[in-house]
Formats: sequence, structure tokens, C-alpha cells
Amino acid sequence: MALNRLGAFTVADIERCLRGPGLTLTVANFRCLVQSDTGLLAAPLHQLYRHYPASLTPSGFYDFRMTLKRKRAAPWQPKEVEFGWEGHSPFPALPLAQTHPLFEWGLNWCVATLSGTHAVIHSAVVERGGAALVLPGEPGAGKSTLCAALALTDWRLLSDELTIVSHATGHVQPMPRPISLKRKSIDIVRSGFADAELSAPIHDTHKGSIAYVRPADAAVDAWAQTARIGYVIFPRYAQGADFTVETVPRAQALAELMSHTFNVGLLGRDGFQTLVNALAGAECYAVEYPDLASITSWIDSTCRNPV
Amino acid sequence: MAVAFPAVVACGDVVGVVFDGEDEAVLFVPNSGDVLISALAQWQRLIGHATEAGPEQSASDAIHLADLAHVANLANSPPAHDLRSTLLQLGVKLD
Repeated sequence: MALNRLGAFTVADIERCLRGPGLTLTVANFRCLVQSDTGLLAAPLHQLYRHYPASLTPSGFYDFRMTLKRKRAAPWQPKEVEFGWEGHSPFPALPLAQTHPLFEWGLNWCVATLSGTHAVIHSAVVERGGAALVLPGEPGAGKSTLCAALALTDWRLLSDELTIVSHATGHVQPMPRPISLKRKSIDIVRSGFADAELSAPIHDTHKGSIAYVRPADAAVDAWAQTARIGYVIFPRYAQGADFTVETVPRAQALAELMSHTFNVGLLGRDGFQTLVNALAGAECYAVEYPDLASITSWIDSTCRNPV
Repeated sequence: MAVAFPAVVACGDVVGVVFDGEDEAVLFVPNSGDVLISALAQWQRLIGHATEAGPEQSASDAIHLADLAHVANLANSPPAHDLRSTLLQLGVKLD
């Protein structure tokens, strides 16, 4: 099967393929077959995934078969899109305008649910000098904004949502994809990083207005370069707060990470062992910060020792 | 530089680990998904590695459930005196 960069095709070509046999999109080590009849997926894929390997003549093996189809409804009912995986719909339908976010959330679900023996942590992760920096956080902690700020400077994006840890090695398996920004973060990144390429905002999602930052081509190309976890930082944005740093024992960090791990119950003892191995050489911190500049400056000076 | 992985030790249904230089153990009950943090001395006593029993610590100082989903269950139970009784309250088999 011939694989090109998705950007080698026109939006019209991609649209035709999505409505027909499906687009094969390779994201890191996952191959996805995507079909959609909403007419709203080809353009954002062409913009944000243009550097990813793709084929318009799907054949052979794929990991996930995903559909984003218009939900059948009476003419007076709202137009909605449904995500499907192998014929199942794990989520409720969403307004048609949210076709692209639903693709991103659906792909997250596929990876978190179907990643075999890998432990999958809900966390952003970037890499520099061979050391991965993991950024778990509750919604509002600022992890995606921080992840974007780091990935737009001299850190390599591994993922803004899912830290995939190999059971065999304890290393992070990169899965670089567009970074999701919410509300005020969109303006912060747009105004602070002239090189950032953002999608058009999508309004009225359950997370408010969101937009996506296109990942750097170099990060997409380096998807096979795994990284050992060197640092875990639990960030917490607090407007007007003093900048504070607390060292976190690895035992506490492990317990916290387990609460952010989607499939630890499924993996059982093996999942526990995977996270133990991953944290063995890590430095862990909890950081409260009032603005992006203070935490990026602190990370730049602190996270410099190769693992 | 190669990193040495800490040993995960099993005691009945529960597995635990201690990182180098730290004084707490993380315990995991795979069957239920419970995650606990215990004082190192309590964990060592449970697995029979303690050479000398240290001063008794209160349960609240020594042990807590890291999985917030299960805190309510423990709060409704009689106070635990040690790690063993805490685990038994959670239905963990230790032998």
C-alpha cells in the first residue's frame, strides 16, 4: 500500500475517500481507517495531520476502524454526528460542528481502551535530551497550555493527552497529535507563539471553545524514539498565587499517576509494575504557578539532567 | 545510565513497592483497584521483613488510601490499627 503524507492530497480527495472506502491515517504506531459523511473532517485533517503518513486506497491491516457519521434524525431534530468503532458507538452523538473534536476524542478512546499491555496515563508528555517530562493534571490545571508552550520551544511533543508507557521497557511511546487548547489558552498560545499554527476554534463543546495546535513535523517524524521518564510535574495554575515548588516522593507520585491511568484495573499487577519501572529514575514535583512564564522558566532550568 | 527497577513484592492479594531512599510503600490490590500508601515499617512488618518493630503509628499517620473513590468506604469502617486490619477491611486476602 502506497503511503504519502496526507498533505500530498487535496481536501477534495480526502473528502471523497472519507465518504467512500475510508482514509488510512498512520498516527505513530497506530494505523487508523477513518470514514465520515459529515463533510466537516477533511479540512481539519488536511491542516493538522498533513505531515502524517496516509493512503487514499486503504487495504491491509489497521488497528482502529473509526466512523464519524451523521446520525439519522427527523428533519426538525438537530443535526448530529456519531462516533463508531467497529460498529459500536461508545459516546453519545454530538452536534455536527464537533465532528473534528469527536474524531480526536474517539481516537483517544481507542488508544486508551485498546493499547494492549501498555499503561496509558491521562497526561501530557514532552521530551528533551532523552528525558520525558510527564504533566498529569486535573482539568484546569493548565497541562495542555503548558504542553503547547514547551512543544513550541525546544521540547519534543510526545502527546498532549495520553502518556503511553511500554510494559517491556518502562519507556514512553510517543503519539504526537494536535494539542487541544481550551478557552483563554487559545489566546495565550496564539499571542505568545507566533509560529503556532492553530485550527479554527470550535465553539460550544462540553469543554467550551476549543482549538488545536498542529504538532511540529520533527515530532511527528520522531514517533519511534521512545524516552525514559526523567521528570513528573503536577502543575496547578492559580491566578495571583505565589510560585511554589514541592518535591513529591515517587511513592506519592506513583499513587497519583495510578489514579490518572485508564487501564490500570485491566492490566492489574503488570500495569502496576509498568508504572513502577517507569518512575524508577524520575524526579517528581508539584508546582503551583501564577503564569506560564514562571513555570516554563523553572522547567527550563530544573529539567536539564539526562536520565 | 541504566536505572535499577525496584522490586514489586506480593503479600496475598496485595502487591507493594518501595522506592530507593523513601520511607513509604505504595500498595496495590489488583482485584479491586485499591491503591494505598503505607509507612515503610508497616509494610515490612506485613511481609515479614521487619527486623525490629518500630513504635506503633496511628492509622491515620501511617496508612491512607490513595484512591479517593474508596475513602468513603474506609471512613464508615471502624478505625484500623495497622496495615493488616486496613487491608482485611478492604476484603484483601493476605495468606
